[in-house]
Amino acid sequence: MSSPAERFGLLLACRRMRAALGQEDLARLVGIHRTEVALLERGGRRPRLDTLLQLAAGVECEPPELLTGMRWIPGVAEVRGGYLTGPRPGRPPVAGDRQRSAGDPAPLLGRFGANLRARREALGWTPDELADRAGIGVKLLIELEEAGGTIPALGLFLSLVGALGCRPSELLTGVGWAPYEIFEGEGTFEVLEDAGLLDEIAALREARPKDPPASIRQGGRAR
Amino acid sequence: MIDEVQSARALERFASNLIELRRRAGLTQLEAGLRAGLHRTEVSLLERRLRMPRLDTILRVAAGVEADPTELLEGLAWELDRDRLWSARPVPGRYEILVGGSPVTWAPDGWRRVGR
Repeated sequence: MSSPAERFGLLLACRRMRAALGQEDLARLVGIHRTEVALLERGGRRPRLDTLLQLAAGVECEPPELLTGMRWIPGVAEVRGGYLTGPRPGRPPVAGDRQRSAGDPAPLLGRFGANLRARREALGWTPDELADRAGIGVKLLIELEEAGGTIPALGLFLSLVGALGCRPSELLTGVGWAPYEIFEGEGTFEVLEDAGLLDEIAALREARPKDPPASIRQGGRAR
Repeated sequence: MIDEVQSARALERFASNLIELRRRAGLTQLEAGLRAGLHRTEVSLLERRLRMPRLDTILRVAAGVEADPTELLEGLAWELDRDRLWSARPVPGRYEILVGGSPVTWAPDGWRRVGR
């Protein structure tokens, strides 16, 4: 598919020839170089707003007429949010290195379990000892440490914090929640494939009035 | 040879059209920018007349505020000095050449046979 600049160039060439102007004439009217007009008509430039308005005035048409048959189609919106886990234990997640897992608690549980085990081992306790102090079953504790099961309820979490004698945040290092954000997928330009326009340009080129042949010009004399 | 005054006027009208259309669509600058696939500051720059948009940006922004490019360019026009077209050309009628014995003169629409 052609680009908006290419279609703009064709529309410009068509309007210019309808207005019976040469590239040189249009260039002079607008105050740009002839090669610039040629480049624009080949689709090699994305004209600035002011140039676009000048060109439209030069070929005597409304500016939007040079923008027909082309549009931008926005990408599809996607909403993302989810648990965050930091790249290393003990380091909180920071923007840029964070890892999203929309709604999937596995990374969260993995980091929580690792924190729990590290804290327990730092105290030199066996799982049984910690489970006793926290008043929970040892099976549940091992499940938590191995990142199985579900996200612990607040009561269970606080009993572990109390038994370990640490701050709640110590068991939560490196985990968090990413707020929902809207991401826009890449959009695209849609450009009309316009055979009629190409035909008209070809016809206009053919019908273009020509200068007298060089032999005639040389044979003539200026008075 | 860009006419700075007209350029500034065009930019101002473009910006006010953009603000109006974005409000009509009920979008923030960020949302409009996301739809347009532009950097998040771009819409703000355009609305503050700090950026002269190019063809592709005009199309993107129009779609971003759910409008037609025609609406975005509403009221934008350029006054051209059409005399400029002739200033560097031979003055009409001033040049005359003979082709096959009959005179041909320059006129605004090209070489023209006269006096036949």
